[in-house]
Amino acid sequence: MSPIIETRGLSKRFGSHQALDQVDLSIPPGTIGLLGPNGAGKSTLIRCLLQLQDKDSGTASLLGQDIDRHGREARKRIGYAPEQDCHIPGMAGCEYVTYCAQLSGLPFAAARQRAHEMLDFVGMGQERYRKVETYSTGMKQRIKIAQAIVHDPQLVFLDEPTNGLDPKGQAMILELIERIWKESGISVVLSSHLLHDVDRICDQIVIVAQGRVLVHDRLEELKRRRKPVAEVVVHDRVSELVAAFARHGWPSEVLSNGHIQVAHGHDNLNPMIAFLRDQRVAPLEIKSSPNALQALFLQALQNQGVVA
Amino acid sequence: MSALSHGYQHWTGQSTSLWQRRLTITRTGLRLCWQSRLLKVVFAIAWVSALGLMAFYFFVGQLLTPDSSVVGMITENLGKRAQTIVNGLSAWILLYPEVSVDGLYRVVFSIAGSLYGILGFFAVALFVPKLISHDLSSNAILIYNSKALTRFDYLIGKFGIAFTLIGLVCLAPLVAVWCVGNLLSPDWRFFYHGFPALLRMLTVSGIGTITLSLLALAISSLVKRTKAAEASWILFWIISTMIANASGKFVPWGRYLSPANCLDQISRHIYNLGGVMEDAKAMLPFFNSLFERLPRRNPLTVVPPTDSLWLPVLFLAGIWALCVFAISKRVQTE
Repeated sequence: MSPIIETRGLSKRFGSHQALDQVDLSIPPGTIGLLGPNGAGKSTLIRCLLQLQDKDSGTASLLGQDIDRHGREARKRIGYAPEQDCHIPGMAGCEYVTYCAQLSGLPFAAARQRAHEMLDFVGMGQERYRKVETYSTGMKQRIKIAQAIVHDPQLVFLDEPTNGLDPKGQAMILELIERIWKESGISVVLSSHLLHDVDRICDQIVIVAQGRVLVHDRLEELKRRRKPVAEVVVHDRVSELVAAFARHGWPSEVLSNGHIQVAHGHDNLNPMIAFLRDQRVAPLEIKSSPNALQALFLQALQNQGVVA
Repeated sequence: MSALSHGYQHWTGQSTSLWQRRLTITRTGLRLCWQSRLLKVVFAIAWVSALGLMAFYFFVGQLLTPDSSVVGMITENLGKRAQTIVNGLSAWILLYPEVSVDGLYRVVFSIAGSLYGILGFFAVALFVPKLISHDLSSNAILIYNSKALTRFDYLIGKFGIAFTLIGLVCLAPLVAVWCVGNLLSPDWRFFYHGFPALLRMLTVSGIGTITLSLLALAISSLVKRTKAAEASWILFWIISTMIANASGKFVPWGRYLSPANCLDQISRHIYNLGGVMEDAKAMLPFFNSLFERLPRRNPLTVVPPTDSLWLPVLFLAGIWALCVFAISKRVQTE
């Protein structure tokens, strides 16, 4: 499968700050989670790829087209929903999306029809006839997604799309993003610092920190390579159980919420259940690899010395 | 029904060309600017005054028409002296159409062009924030730059908005006056004799429209707030003219620091009204005595250009280059 994003030695510096440092990437189609702490270089990477910012060195291609030579043509097949609010003052929602479609090369009649289809797709009703500046945060996020996919791109960049939303709004946007890939086959690059969002909908992970790519792999593969961990919740006998795990060769620790985290090293929980039965312990709950992505994320940062 | 129950449909169709996408920016911008009621008033003033000029040319045409009821009315109401003047003017126009028609258009275009320039200045003050300022303050610039456009495509589209609006106030009414004025004339040769004046007007108004458009874009790209953009536009002209006039007292070229002074000098060179007056005096002694009897300072006084043409042209080119540089720097995504 040919990569949708390919970079070689991509670098960008802002004064003394190295925002991107020799980034090499080759990303196949799918849903890609771009993770990293604040200031890691996620947004800069997206902006350099979309030529919203000039890169200092290196090469990049999107959908097989070199951005230096065919940037404008490549962007015809790419959508982008930026993190911050952006609208054209004085325009109603449907006018705005129609206009964005026209800017991407759709004739007016097709643009208007597509705009209404995409506004239906993102779940916007009569509010599409209101001016965009009067929209709530959730509506603004949805209209940003609508304008990003209105021209039927092959790749869409979504920068922190769940920012500022309540849990219900977040769930709705995540469901929408999931559908973009599953129903339309549009590859999605989701930049977020919310690991839960990424864990839920992405099949590939790129972890960026200090302008460098620390990890890039399929999420399932990353989880598989990681030493399996389980979280055991018991009513009492906590210290006794920790000692039993240690004797069995399974390192464990008691978390601040009283749960015991055990590195059992098996693909499934059956050995753990058997061990607890032998110990005559009736657990309240056993969770397999809870917060796996968070652990992976922290582990990647620790390995690179980004966090202590 | 779930809000997300609508399925995704792919689009398969022919994309529009790059120029059509640029034109989309212009067309949409024009529609947004046209929502201003005050701008409509400025347009109405420009076109109503153009109708007045058309009426003037209709009147001139009537002077040359034998048995015209307009001439009859003049001679009846204003007496023999008026009839003599009318006859003299008619004879002059008919004898020397290559000078009289051209000269008349040059005088009218020169005076009307200055007034339309002022009208254009007010029109720009009304729409200048809607060019780039609003896009910068609402982050719309990010959307434009992420589409299949470059920042120069965006600027071409925005330049189209400014040029069209200013052109409709400053340029189009004068072109309409020329067309209708010649259509109402009694002789088709007037089109031929009036053509050099049209070219002069197109050159002067074209340069003026481009200058106003570029300056409007530059001011709009430098200021994000609506009121600040309007105020900056007005202050720019006042301050630049003051600085230019003050520095002109020390160094002769200093007066060209103001685009207004550059445009004024270019206009004087191109219309060359002094030449028109000299030709008129040489051909008809009546004009000689008429001009000598007028007070030294009068509305018809022709102020000749003070320098050669290249100096204001050079400064104006510099101002254009500065504008393009400032705009292209400012419309980058921050």
